Amino acid sequence: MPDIFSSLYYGFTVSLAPINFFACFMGVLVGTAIGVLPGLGPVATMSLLLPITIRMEPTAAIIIMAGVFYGAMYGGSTTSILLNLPGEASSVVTTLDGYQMARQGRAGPALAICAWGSFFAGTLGVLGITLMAPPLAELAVRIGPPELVALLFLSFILVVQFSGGSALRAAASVLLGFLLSTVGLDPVDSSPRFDFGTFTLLDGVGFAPLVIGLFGIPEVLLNLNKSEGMEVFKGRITGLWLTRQDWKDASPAIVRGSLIGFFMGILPGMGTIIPPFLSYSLERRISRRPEMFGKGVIEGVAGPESANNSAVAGSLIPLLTLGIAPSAAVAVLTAAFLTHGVQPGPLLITEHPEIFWGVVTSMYTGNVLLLLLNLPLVGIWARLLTIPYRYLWPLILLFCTVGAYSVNNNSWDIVLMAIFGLLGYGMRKLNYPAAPLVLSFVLGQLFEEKVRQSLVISRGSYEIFIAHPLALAAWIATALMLIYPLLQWGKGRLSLPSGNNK
Amino acid sequence: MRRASPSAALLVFSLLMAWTAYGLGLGGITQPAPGFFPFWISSCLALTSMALLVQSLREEESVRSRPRFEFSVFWPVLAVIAATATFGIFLEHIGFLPTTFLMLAFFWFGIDGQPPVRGLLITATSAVCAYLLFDKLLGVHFPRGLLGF
Repeated sequence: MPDIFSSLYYGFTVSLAPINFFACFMGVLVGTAIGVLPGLGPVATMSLLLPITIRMEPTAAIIIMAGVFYGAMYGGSTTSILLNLPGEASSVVTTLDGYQMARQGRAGPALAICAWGSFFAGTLGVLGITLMAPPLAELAVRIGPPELVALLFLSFILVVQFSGGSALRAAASVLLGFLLSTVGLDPVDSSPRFDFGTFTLLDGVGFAPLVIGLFGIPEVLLNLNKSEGMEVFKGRITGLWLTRQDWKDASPAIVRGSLIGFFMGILPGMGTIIPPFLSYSLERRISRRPEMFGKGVIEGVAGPESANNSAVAGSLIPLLTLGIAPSAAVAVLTAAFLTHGVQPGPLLITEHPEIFWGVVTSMYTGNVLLLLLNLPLVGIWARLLTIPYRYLWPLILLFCTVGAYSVNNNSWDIVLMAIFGLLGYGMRKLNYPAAPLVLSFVLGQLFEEKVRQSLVISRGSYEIFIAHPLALAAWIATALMLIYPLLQWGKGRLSLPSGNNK
Repeated sequence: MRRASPSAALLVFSLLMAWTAYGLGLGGITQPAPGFFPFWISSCLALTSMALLVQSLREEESVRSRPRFEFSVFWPVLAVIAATATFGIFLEHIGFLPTTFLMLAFFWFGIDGQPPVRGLLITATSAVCAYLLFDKLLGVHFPRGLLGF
């Protein structure tokens, strides 16, 4: 425990250094702004920032990117409440009761509980990282290539299971991402694969063109046709001080939402979208007034908003301890680490303590800054929504092209981004999830490398993959994850006739 | 058949990739060659897309009542993608500032239908501001092109 305190003290000396504090402020400011504005989510924004942060110190660069990630969770709720349109995907559930509260003249309490809930959840999540990451990282140091292969395979299965919607489509998305990760030089003997004689593809598919294309461009394209009909809440935002009854109703939901978000966020594929849904359905199930949900109850806002914020912190644990990205946004953070020559994973705490503790403590500071930015300045954020989208989308596209270009200063990356933009648009229209594609793109390279490394170690024997207890446990978990849906499907088919008779 | 076509396209794509991967050499199961992983991933993708194809053909009946493909909705999408790709192709030759001006002008005039004076003013200001922000302030080095900026 004293170790934790001295590490936290060290972390605060790093994160409160002027440049890092400024990076944290800019990150949460940009994060809130893009969270408020519909049409550009945190994943695309972080990808756009990736090339700009190349010239920064690694600690400041990671701090600014993380700030955008959790800042967007705060900002997204403002749009959900005032516009009935989620600022970003994790705030979808907030529209259900948040907008209804605004219509009943309670926009102030809805926004205030979002800010307080997010603050509590964010702080609790960071506390979770502080306590859990160091021992987990110590444990993870002992994980070799075969165990990592098993864990990565389990991640792929979890991503497919938890992506929501059709598992077949999610599987296709995972496989497509995996296939894209094999473009470029072979990791073992460096022979070119699928480069089609081009220099751009010889180095592999760029991460920035892929992510900006899959997330940034489709957002703009989908909003092109529907932005004109948006109606912003016109009333005055009052009542930012919550009543005792509001606190009484919302506090348990905040605690439950924070815990759900944090632990769900750790699992690959959960991201920040599913935990708010789980929190909302739990709140409705245990509520004494479930019929009021969807009509403007404060706990319907407090729970999901807390869940999406603590999920951010939870999703950083696999990255900081194992080097595995459980969500698309964390995959962008992984790219940021790698761009600066830092390998995220179990050795991060010992090899780069300034980055690890600097980033973790900056999240405490960032949560305080977000509370200060979001509560008193909520009127300014609401005014941001009055900017017509027709003035914004060409500029968003310009930022996307600059972002795709500037990582490698290669203009063909813009063409690649446009192709992925069309792919992303098609995937959104046809209900294929894009996040599993990005995740498997990042993890796929690591998976192939570790499988081949393991086979070299074992001289071609596959026994190495089940020789270690952790690997065996991961394979058993994978088998259970695969069998469970089949059992459910079979059970459903068996019970259907009797159900029909009833 | 409309709903089945994405799965069919995915199937064709995965088979082409599997064929290309096969050409790279598969090696053995204990000593994989460069084509091993791409081949098996493509094969799994082909199987998945076949399952999706069967699923979509089964659902075909219910799809008939869905709204038809509307060109008026889809053309801005294609235009934006084409303009962005064209921007990438001509950036090296023409330079950042003129290409940006042309792309933004196309977006604001061609797609958004802004009035000429306001549109021109916004386009020119945005292009110059983007150049100053990215090239001068953030140090992103854009190609100079024909006009030297």
